[in-house]
Amino acid sequence: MLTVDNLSVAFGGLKAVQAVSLMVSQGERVAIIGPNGAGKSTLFNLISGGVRPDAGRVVFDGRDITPLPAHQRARLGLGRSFQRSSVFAKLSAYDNVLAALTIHRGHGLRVWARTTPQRAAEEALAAVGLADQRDRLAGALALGDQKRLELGMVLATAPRLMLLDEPTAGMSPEETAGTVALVQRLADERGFGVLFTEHDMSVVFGVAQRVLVLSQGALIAQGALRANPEVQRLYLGGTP
Amino acid sequence: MRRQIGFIGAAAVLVGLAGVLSPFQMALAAEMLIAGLFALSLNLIMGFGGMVHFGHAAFYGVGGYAYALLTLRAGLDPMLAFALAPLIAAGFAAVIGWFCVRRTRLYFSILTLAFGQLLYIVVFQARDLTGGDDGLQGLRVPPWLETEQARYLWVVGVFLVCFALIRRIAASPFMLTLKAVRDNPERAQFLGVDVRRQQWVVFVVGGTFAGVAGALFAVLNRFVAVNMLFWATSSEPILGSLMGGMGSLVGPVIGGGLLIFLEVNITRFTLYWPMILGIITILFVLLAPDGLTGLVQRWRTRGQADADRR
Ligand SMILES: Nc1ncnc2c1ncn2[C@@H]1O[C@H](COP(=O)(O)OP(=O)(O)OP(=O)(O)O)[C@@H](O)[C@H]1O
Ligand SMILES: [Mg+2]
Repeated sequence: MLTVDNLSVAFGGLKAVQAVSLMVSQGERVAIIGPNGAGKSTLFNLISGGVRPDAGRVVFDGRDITPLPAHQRARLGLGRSFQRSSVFAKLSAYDNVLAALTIHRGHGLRVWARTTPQRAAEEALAAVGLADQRDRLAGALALGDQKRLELGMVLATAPRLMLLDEPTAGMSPEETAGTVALVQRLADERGFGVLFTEHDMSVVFGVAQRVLVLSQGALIAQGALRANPEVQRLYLGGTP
Repeated sequence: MRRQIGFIGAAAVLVGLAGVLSPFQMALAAEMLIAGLFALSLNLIMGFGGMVHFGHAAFYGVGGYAYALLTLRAGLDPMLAFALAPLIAAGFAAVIGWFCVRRTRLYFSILTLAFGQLLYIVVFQARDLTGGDDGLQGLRVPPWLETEQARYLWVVGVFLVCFALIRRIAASPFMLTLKAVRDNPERAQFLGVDVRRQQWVVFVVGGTFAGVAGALFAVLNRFVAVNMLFWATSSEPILGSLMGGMGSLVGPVIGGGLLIFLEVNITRFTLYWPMILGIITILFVLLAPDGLTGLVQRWRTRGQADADRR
């Protein structure tokens, strides 16, 4: 489904991502972990089209999408969330999801039509547990709710692979558990793949079928996490 | 339904005024409607799109000059010229907008200002064609628009049609998507929006309606002047939208019209209109950044809250 081939990018002298190769197959849930500044968000930007690579390729569904701009990648079914919640602040929660749905259906340029109420938008809102916040401005929602709203927006675009950049950051333990269960359930139901980063190890082990470890821009380990001494030292050693 | 009644009521009042107002008052009311339409056209770009556009007067001017040149130099039928003028403004907006949306925020604004001034200079210099700073006078209008009253009613009619069109456009999937882009271009882009295209389309739509306003001005006054394109003219719909409130469609119309009304009535007594305008602007920005419609809304919700408490 997704193949990342030798992807590299440098900011000035800083090699943020170095020759990273990875694969995510259909419906697979893969976590990328690594310390702050490891290059996780940058890798997501490279995959989703926010940053152009210096070298390497991104192949999605057998198609080389490296030259495509971000919005076209999204249209192909590559959805993403942002590390810092990213919503349409002055629109209601419902309109946020409705906008996502409109975009997904390719109606964004329909100047001469009416926006009609959409059951699918209500459903997406309900799916992320925000039905009761329907008419509140997205910018006025609690941070955790904004993250869930963003998830709902991405869901509304029916992605086949979701890139989630720290989906539970800023959430309470209860919200985190709820979000983990939600992502699990929806991925089961709809069969989309998930590539996500997370600092919360319970989330990583709760969701991921496979774990990749990124450090200083390079993949240093994958799979059998606890057995790897370097990972122990770098990452798990630091967590209580 | 309530909005429909409001629209029909406003239309009836505007038409009815034709029987009440003096010719001078009708000319003023028509100017106010034109300024309102001009502000409304800008607000599509600024209020809905979040793009601060300092060169909108260019398309207002192109609309006016297109009407003038087509009737005067090309000898076209005035009604045909009136119909073509907005399309020509749209063409200019399409080309200029294509460049402007390649930059965002301040850089976008500066590009619009630069292109607007460029067109102004071109019209100013092309004296043989455009009359330079004398403008073009004595424009032809259809025989049935010879009286002040007929011209007023024509402005009212065109204004109402444009308002209805814009109201429909404002409720479109396009506008919802544009508001999403305004709030968070990055989020919109990663959901699948071609941000530049979205902005370009509204730039052209707004420019087209500015062209209608400019052509109306030409018909109403039977002249066009180069200052229609001047950058200071671009500031009028910005201030009008700000005063009326960018969050609604009625706001910019009221604000744009009110500015003309104040200008005409205050300059009769004092030459300090620009200073008074400055003070009004400052007061609005500081005390009522949502404009008049924002004030009304706040006042209403407060009334609602009081009623709920009781
Ligand atoms: N646009 C940019 N320009 C310059 N440097 C950047 C840019 N984006 C990221 N960096 C740098 O690249 C490195 C990797 O950053 P990145 O945000 O990808 O890390 P991360 O693994 O997501 O960290 P965190 O866990 O804190 O989110 C950091 O040193 C960061 O400062
Ligand atoms: Mg990050």
